[in-house]
Amino acid sequence: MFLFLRYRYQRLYSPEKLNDLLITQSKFKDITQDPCQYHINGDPLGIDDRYIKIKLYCHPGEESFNTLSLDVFKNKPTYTEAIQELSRVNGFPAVFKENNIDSLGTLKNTKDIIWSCYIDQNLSDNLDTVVRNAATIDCFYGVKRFNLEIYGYNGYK
Amino acid sequence: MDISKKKKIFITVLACFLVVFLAFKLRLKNYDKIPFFGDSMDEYSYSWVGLSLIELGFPVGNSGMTGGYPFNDSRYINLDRVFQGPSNGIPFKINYPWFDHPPGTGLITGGFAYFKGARVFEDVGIFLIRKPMVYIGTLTTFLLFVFAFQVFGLPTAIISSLIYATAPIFVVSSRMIQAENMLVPCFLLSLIFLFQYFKKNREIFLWLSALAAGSSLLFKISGISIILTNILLLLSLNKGKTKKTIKDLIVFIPVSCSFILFFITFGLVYDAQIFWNVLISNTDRVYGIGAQAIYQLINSSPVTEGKFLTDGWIISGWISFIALSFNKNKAKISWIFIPLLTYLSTYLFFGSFAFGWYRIPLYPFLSISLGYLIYSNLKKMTNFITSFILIMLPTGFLVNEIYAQFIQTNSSVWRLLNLILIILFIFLDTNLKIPKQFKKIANLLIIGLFIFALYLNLQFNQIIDVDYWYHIH
Repeated sequence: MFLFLRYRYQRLYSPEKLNDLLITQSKFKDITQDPCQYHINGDPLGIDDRYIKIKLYCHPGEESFNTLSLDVFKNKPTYTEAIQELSRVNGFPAVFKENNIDSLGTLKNTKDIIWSCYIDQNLSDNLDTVVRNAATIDCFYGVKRFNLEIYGYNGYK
Repeated sequence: MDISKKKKIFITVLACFLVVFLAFKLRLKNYDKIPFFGDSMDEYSYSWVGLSLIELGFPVGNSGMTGGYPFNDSRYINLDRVFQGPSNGIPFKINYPWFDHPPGTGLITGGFAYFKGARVFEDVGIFLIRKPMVYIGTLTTFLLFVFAFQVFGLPTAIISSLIYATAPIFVVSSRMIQAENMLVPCFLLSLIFLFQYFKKNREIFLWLSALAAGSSLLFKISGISIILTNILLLLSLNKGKTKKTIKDLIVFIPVSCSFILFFITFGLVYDAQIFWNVLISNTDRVYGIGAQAIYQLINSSPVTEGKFLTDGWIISGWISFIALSFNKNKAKISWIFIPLLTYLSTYLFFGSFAFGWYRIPLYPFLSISLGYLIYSNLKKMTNFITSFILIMLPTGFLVNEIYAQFIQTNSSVWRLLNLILIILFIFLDTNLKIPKQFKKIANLLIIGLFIFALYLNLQFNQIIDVDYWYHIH
């Protein structure tokens, strides 16, 4: 039995295969095109401030509020990597272009409608920066900063 | 074979089939919804261990004993959309090589999932991995029937297996992927073989009993209670036959205990140091069941950590267990007493958190205790009041849950009915010169009440849906 288990372990195991086993999305999972359909509930307990909040606003009244533990990353991630991880967990495709969101699900940047992200209420033009612990990133689709109030949000710079 | 014998066999097989079929149908309904996915993350973890052993030849799971592992690998594995609800946003803490328990449970559920196409951890949804538990719960009902039949006879087998098949807490608990649900069939199987050994005196049955008892160690170390039970039964039932006892133990102990080598080998293959640390970290676990453990065993009915499903059948089981201790047929009673008390001692010794699943191996024996006591009273046409109270404990609770409104508006009928029955049964129990016909009628009333209780069990099982489960605590 010892030799059999040892042989299987040596033949089958590799850290890459383990990682695939852990993070590959299920073929049974419903891959949604709506980034606001699912969310990661609650504030993770016992991790102090090692988390970020990612809030997606797809349309007025259609939102996805998520809290993501930073412990799931080997190194401190960028905001892009954090949103990519969120897209993997919640099961929607995410595309990035020039350090910003190009599309989440079917919600794609066009000439007039774009994703605008605010890190701690400050407009960001570069999501490839390393996240700050306990930061909040709000990403709005379809609006420019001047009419954010249709979401009921004021005070964003 | 004469006709009456054929008829008896036909009735036995038919009764067994009907009870087992009922058990299967009840366990299958809502099996992937109740208990909620995520009520116990162990369910996923066990299956991950099995799947990773098949895929990578390496055990990977989520541990409750993180102290023994050098690191935690936190991951969001969003199976069943668990992060929408019960997980509270906390990623799974993945530990490897995983040594919390022997890998038998995981190999069954993870293996089943693999067989059905699961290849990554996110594939291991509750609808897949709980399916084998439905079959194992059904198998357990069958084994309970066989065990009760050979030790106590057909009527006790029917009564106790009907209780075990339909009591809501037994139905719900048996769906969960917990090693205890694997221990129970090993427990019953080892006792069935041991009984056959005493009956037929053929050594093959002693070997089979030892193999069944030992195989419990492939699922959880607390399976040691099954080995201990069989040893105590050998000592108790071989009383006065020292040579035979020694000979039996020389076969039984090495065969059954050798199964522990599988777990030790398993630990040595992957990492002896972590294996040892995890074993040792068990001693640091909180003694959550506390000194009030026995009181809570009778008083509360947890299914998972935070979900309680009050159920009078368990209290009735304990009362009948105590009542049976006065029974004069000690040899017969020892087939319930020794298993129950040995597992109880293990539960108190190994006890950690007050999770409901640690109690699962007690349930078949509580069902048999109750079934045997009810049948003994019916057979002797005595102790009507005892039978009445034992059946009324679950009945009263179930009536209140199902027909609360009706009882409130018709409380006078309910009060009067109880009063009349109690006075009647006390009268019958205390007056020796009552004609037999009256006692027969009283027996019919008890049987009717028992059938009504079973009907309520079925009704209540229908009521336990997502909405009901959401509201219980």
